[in-house]
Amino acid sequence: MSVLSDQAAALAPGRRPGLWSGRRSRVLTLLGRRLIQIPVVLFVVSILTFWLIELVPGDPGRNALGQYATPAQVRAWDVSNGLTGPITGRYLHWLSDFVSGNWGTSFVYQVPSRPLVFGHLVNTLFLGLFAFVLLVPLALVLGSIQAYREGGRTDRGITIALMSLSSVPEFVIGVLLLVVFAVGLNLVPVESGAFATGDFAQRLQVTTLPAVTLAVAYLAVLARMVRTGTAGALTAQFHRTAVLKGLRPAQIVRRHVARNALIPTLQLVGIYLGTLLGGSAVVETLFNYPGLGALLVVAAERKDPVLLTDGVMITGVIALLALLLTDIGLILMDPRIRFEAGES
Amino acid sequence: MTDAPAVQVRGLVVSYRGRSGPVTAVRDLDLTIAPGESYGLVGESGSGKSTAAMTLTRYLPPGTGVTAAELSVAGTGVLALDTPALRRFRAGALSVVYQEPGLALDPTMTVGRQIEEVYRLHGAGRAQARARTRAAIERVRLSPAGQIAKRYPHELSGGQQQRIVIAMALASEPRLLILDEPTTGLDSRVETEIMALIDGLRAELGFASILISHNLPLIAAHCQRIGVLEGGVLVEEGAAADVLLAPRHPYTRSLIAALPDINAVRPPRPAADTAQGPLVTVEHLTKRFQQKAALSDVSFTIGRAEALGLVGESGSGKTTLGLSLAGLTSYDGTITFHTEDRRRGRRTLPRVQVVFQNADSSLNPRRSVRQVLARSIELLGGDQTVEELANRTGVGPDLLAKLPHELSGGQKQRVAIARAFAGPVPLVICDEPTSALDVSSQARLLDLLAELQDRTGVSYLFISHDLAVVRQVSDRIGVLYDGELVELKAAEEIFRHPEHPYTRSLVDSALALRQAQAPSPAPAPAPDFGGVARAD
Repeated sequence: MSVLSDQAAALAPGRRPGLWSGRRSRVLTLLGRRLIQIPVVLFVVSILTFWLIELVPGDPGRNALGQYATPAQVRAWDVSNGLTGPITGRYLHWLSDFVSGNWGTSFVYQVPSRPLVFGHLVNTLFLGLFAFVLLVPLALVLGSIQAYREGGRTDRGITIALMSLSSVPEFVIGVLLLVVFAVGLNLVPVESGAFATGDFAQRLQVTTLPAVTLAVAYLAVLARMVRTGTAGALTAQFHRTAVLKGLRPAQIVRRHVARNALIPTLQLVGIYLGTLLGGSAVVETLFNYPGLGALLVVAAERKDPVLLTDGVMITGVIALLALLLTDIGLILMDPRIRFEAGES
Repeated sequence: MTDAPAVQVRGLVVSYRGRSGPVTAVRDLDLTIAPGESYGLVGESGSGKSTAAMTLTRYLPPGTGVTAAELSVAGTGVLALDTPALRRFRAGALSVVYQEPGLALDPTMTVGRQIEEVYRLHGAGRAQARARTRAAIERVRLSPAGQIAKRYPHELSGGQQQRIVIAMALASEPRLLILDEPTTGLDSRVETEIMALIDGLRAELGFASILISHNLPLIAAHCQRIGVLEGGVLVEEGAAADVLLAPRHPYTRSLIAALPDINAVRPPRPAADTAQGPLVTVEHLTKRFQQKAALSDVSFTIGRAEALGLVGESGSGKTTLGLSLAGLTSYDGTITFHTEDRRRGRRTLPRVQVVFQNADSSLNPRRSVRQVLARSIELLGGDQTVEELANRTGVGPDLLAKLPHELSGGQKQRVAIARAFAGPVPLVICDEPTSALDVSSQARLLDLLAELQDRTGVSYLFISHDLAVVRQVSDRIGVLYDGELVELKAAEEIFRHPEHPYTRSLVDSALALRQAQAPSPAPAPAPDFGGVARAD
């Protein structure tokens, strides 16, 4: 038996060359795994939501019939709306209805739950994407400026500004923006609700303030992440290699810094995307924006189990899809990532 | 132009900002390297050898002050270049091969593209660059070149990564190749292969080279001339064989004396050890990572007060074996300690301590040495004070108040050793404890380990890729190859009668590194540079 040299070891099994490192096959593997995982997660979420709603005090029948209804009337209402009986049975009943698309009627709004949820979802997606489009480029610019000027006056200045901004709660920022732009300058209406279904320009106008408020809330942390990632790439040894190769600064940034700097940021971006698209209760309520977040607040307040369960499930789906999108992005950017179980 | 020396340096002074004023890293250095010459710069960490070499590229941390009467590479005055000219100079005149190829390569780009980039920079078209990259990969003896080019750095072994870095460095046809500790992280066989490759390519392509290393035998074997740096000053310079065999400066002599002596075997110690039976019995130890076996059916014993050495290249499973014994990873098979559990309260005190290769990352950066040691004494149930422990393990009393980042590599490793000896633990696993250290720190540390063993009767499992180091410490040596324990016998026997082909190749390359520099005076045994390495 001869001793293997390290050239021969190249083809030894165990290291996975060629086909396995292909990006397309890794994306397909991921999709396959998620196709199983996502329904499982949603199933668990649905059970938790269903049971938690049960625990929250409040009686939908009493809410619906008002304070003058007799207990017998309330009881009859509960029975006719399927709110009595063992919880397991009711859960299974709800599950089969939900899966087959028969989502029932909202108690609070007295309209079918599905169009209601989807209508608000569209508004929330619009707001979330708007905020996302403002947030990400701004964070990238600020963070990379900071990294290139690390330790300098610009870096410290931006850090202080962002930290101050992020320590102000979003409802305070929202109110300030309303006072200045809606009340003072009269550029936008104070109430977003009425206009949120108009044409695109009008929607854009009324969505601007809530979107800015949301973007500001997440800006500091994301910019910080970009700064850390970029600073890491700039001090990495492969950066020195690129400089000593004699590459032009633009080539170094494009080929060697950008991708490596963005890998840590992308994971956070994915989480934020899910959060933004799932709807923000605080900002939507503040601006009276007809989104999913505000809808869920009402559903929880008035104890509308139908609306609440359906809304939470949709929020879950959106968040999981955003995470899936992030994971695919990560695979495309970082050849080292593998979503496989087991020790490495 | 072609006759200009590859490097011409006169009166070079490099200083950088330290916490208390400027620190001079290189002092009044004169250096001339002829075209095609191979020059070696040797010195301990902090001697300024890397700084001196990197000054030639003008890639130094901001705030570094450089003055020189002359500093030119291949006829180009480096200090006078403006930014675009500096870029062209870096692209054309010189290249660097780095210490850690895994970090020097961009992890998100295929290695082929990283080499192509250099050809593209020199004006090659896309297809042409690709073809040349293949040829370059073949030139560093990697095949099949087409497949290798499509890999990412993490899909290659350390030796393969370094070959890629070499191919990338030579793509610009440089006049000067700076080799900054190019084989430090690699095991000895890969080291031999990489150095042979570089020697071959130099003969073929005619570039000059500077090899920077703390490894004197390595430099002597691969360089025509050697310069010895101490504290930023070139204390000795001359032909390789002269410097090694007839060192004039006391510092050079101390470096040579500190080399692990390939012939120095630990003197046999009182053999009371075997009477009580072994300390640890390992039977059929197997460990798999997914489908690949890291250890397959390994069985051995460690005697009481015995030092068992374990050699093998990276990936052979030696670290996994250490981790299994320490209980830090799961495994199949049985590991039995023939000791009584020591208890303190309800807690069983640990039977094993580990000294890791990288003391840097195994010490909490926010705790002082005193805090680290006090905590260890408490955890291991020791009955000594921090001062006593520090004194026994050669940790100076002035170090106790310091934080890890204020310590040198050797000092950190001493703290790590002190931590392992904070209580009466029967087995200490040393996993490459000296690999990151220069020779004199290494020699002192090995002495310390031997002394501590003589005094406390602890057993060692000493893991290393360096046969010479293992031999100095160990009573018996085991050889791991591809997860199998292919040989296990007394230290001397391994050298005298290596049976397994892999053991033979290890012994040969260990001897070769130390033979290469000199026509050996006597026929059979390897030349002996340093009987003084161990006084005991």
